[in-house]
Amino acid sequence: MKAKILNKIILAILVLALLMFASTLINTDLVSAQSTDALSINISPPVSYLYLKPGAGISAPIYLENQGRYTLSVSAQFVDFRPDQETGQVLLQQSSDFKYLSIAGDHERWGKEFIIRPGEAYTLPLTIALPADFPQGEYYLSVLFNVEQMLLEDVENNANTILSGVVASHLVLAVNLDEADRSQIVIKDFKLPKVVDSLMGIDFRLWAKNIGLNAGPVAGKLTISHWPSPAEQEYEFYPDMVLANSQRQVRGMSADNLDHLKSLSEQEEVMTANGENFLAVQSQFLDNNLLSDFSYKKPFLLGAYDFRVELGDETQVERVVALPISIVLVLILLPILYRLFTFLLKSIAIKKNNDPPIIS
Amino acid sequence: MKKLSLFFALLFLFLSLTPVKAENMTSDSYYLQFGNFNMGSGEFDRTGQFGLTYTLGGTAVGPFGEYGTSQYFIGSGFQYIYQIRQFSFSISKLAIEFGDLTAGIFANDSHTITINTGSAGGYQIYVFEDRPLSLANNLSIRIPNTTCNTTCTKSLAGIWDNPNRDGFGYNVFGNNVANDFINSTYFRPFADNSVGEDMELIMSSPNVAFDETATVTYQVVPSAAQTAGDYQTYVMFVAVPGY
Repeated sequence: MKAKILNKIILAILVLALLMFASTLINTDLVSAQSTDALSINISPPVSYLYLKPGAGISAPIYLENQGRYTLSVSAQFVDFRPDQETGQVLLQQSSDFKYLSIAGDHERWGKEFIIRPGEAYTLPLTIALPADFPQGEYYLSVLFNVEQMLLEDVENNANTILSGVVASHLVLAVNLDEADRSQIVIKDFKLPKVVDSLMGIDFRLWAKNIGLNAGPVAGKLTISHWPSPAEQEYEFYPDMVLANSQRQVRGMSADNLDHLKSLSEQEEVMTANGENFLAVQSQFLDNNLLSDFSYKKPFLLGAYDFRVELGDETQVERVVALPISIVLVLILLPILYRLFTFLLKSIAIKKNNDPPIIS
Repeated sequence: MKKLSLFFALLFLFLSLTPVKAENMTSDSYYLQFGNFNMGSGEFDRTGQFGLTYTLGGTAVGPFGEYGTSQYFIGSGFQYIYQIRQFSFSISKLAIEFGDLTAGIFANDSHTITINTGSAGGYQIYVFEDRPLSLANNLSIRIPNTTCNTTCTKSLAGIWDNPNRDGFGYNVFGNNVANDFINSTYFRPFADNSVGEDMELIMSSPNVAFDETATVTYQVVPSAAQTAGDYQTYVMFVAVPGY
């Protein structure tokens, strides 16, 4: 009886130990996809959007993977960034006055090196803790990871130029008392012509501005209507983030292409099984079809086209009139040109008739 | 025998235990005294199951909410391109070697840089040098940054195919590179950090990038009067994701 119980205990311990061993294998920080590049670093997330009350704290871990050939020495620092007002591009600043971002509560760890071996990963445990009187607003920080090869001295002895990389991860921190979304995206500018030629397309561009207190995504669509069709063409806006008090050009994709994107995504498994690189195909598709400079083209446009923009809570309708200007011009110019041509022919004929005969 | 089995089982159990990994939340009580300490937020992936916005602690949400919730961009097909939220940057080699430098003869070396944005936020890549190519044991002796055949600046490339114009510069060729690099004969001098020059943009895109690659070629030629010795500098590439 005792032997049976002992056997069961041993069996249970063995099973438990096997499970824990399997669990350690699963949780290991080894990274499977290795690159042949000397330096290859993967960072996640590239951007974190955080809400926080004054007096509260939050953690925002950043995950780094070394996918390159060499052991990397990494150190982190942070600076402010601001968005470019026209393009929304990130403009890194030289430094930051923000005092409440630390690495696991330790402000002294900024700039200190840590090591990531090839195929391994590291999670940087960033924390933000704000004092109770911290002013409300939106704050933009970029954590910069300075990445260089370990054993740099060996490299230095043989090289003229030693290369290293810096990879950024952004923190967009909205500080407000109720942690509510106070973004408000409005139409900043909608550029399109009033009159176009029937044989040309209609080019248009749209800018969104965030007049709210924190970042928010562009959400909405543009519908082109032309009698009798109420929705001749539709574009869905891409949910780009617009930071507080900044603007950026709106990107979008036609409804047809969105359907195509959806069906493409549904074929991912089949494409992968066939040896196709799904991500490459998808990227190429996005590169070609996710537009910021829109152009509505038809073989022949005629009459009034209404462009209805729905962006956030705003709606704006603009009318473009397409007229066969080039055809009318040709029709007007053709008789004139014909007259001119016949006049020239007549003039030449008269001149020939008036010329004195050549006497040999 | 049973005792031996039990011993090995316990030993196996002991060896299977891993050190506990935890954020140090107690070393500095400063954070705890505020209360409401959220464990984490943002889009984050460790397992390859991308796209899930994880929020622990309850106050923070990602920009697009979670899949399957009304916060997600409603009625859109764009969710398909948010399935990866990673950003990677690669440099094919980290040491540039020119060999022996001779006046009047160009020396070149090159490498590639590769960017993956994962999502459609875009990227920018900048470059700068720590200082001009300098003599290893006397940093005041330098091979100057190139001024090309006639003129070029750190933000505007110019033709540099005349080896009698000494200097050090670079060319970039590939996907979405700065458009002043018209072909492989166009070079720029590096932005010089030692005199406080701002880093310069060499490659950018507002769109998704999948294995976008550019080749960076370094070119140097010393003057006849250049002091002999080992010249070195450090060049840094800065990869910035869009938002």
